[in-house]
Amino acid sequence: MNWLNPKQQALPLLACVLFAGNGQAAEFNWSGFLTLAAGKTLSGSVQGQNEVRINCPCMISDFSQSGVIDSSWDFAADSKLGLQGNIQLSEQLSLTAQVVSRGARDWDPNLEWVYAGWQLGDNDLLQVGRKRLPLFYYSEQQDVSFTYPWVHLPPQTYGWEAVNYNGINWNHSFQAGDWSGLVNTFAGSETRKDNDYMKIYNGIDSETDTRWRKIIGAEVLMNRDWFEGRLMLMKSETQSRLVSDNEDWSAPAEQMLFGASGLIDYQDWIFSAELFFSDRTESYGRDLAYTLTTGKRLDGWAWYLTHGLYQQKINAMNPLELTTEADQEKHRLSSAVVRFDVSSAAAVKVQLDHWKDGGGQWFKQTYGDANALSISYDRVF
Amino acid sequence: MKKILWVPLALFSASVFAEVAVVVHPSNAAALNPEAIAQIYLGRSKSFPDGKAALPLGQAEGSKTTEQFNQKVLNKSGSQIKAYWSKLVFTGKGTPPKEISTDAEMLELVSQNPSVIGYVDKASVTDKVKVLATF
Repeated sequence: MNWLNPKQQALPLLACVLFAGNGQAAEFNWSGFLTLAAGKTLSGSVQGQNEVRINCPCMISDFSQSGVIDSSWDFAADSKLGLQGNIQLSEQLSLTAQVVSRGARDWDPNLEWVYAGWQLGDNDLLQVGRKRLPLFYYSEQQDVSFTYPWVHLPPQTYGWEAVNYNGINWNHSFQAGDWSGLVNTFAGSETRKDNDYMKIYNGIDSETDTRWRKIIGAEVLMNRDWFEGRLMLMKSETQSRLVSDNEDWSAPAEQMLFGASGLIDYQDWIFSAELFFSDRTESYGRDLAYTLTTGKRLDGWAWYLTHGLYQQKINAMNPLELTTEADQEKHRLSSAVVRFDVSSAAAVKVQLDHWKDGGGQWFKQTYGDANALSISYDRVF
Repeated sequence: MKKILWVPLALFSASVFAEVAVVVHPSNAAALNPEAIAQIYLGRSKSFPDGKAALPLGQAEGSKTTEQFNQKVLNKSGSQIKAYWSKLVFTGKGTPPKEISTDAEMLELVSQNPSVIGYVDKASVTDKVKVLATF
């Protein structure tokens, strides 16, 4: 269940061996997070078991982990438990590992983060190993539901086949007047064997491998008091193979991804907008996604309304031979969320979702429209 | 009856109006506005205006002084602060200020290190430290 290649697994261990003998007392810290989330669809346009063997009415809550809320109450789609250990070997060098166990993956523990970090002065941090790919504003914290408004992140934006990557990144923080900024540049690759994301499309019993190579990208975050803005640009090559059909890897196809977001948190009012474009002309076409959120905090309670759209544009001639009428994907999600902070480290959320499909025939017949209710208990420790 | 009503009211008032003092080493000539103090305590700024390193220290989560500091300086609740630092801790982007148990210990640490910035109940301040601001 761990897709680190042997060289990258060995790197943090090698650093550990090199520095363990230098006589300095290493400081160990651990922390964790938990989400227990139950979900059920209330109604929907597809009934019974669909083509990919999911009991409908059904609603995709987490594309990346094939988390789907179906017609019966269960904890599978969005529940997770994460444990993180950090060893501070010296003032400059630390090692971090994070294991996550998810309901969507039968609670199998999975080593999702393991990296070494070198602090290069006050404003620069170099990290090497396995980390989360920072595609979107909440990507890196996507498993720590306590840190964001929803039971599940808006799937219209947060739904891609790569979640992590093996590689290197450099964080540079800076001040510009009253603004504080962070530039994160990253490079690496990712191979996901038996990718859960692809089971949403190819069936829960299918097996598909995906590969993103030559990943290179950067994100810039700017903060000032109640405002935070972010831009992200990334490109890579993508490949896939349907193992269960004995396919070979597809030809490498370049993709370019662009994200922009803004967050205002002013006097207990919250407004956020996130926009995402992709250019995947060498595969099928382009994608557009956005999420808009407004919220209000009041006496330990918080109320949020969110609307999101995902729209695919399939080119007439495309290597994957997809067609607009059958395969084009387009859907909207409107959500209402109530959050209550049980303590400073725990929250209970209730989320009502309305999924409206506007895509091609396959998606309409397989998932269609749905209304779903989710309840979660989030905790960090 | 009047006495019974006034005692809890007086206690309530004392907790509401307790002031927090942000303190540094006496040799530290920095002048920081509340926004600059918040930037240091949120890990977004790593230095004082003169370029020297800033090492923020906090007090125990849930203590009255920390609650006051969070509300008045950071403009956030305890839950919001926890969520903020959880985001950074679990994404490898930062760690929260180390927690000091008492005002006396905080004052001692601040008085010994020109890089340290701390906060205490204003009533605890001694001449071993310099008060940057009170809230």
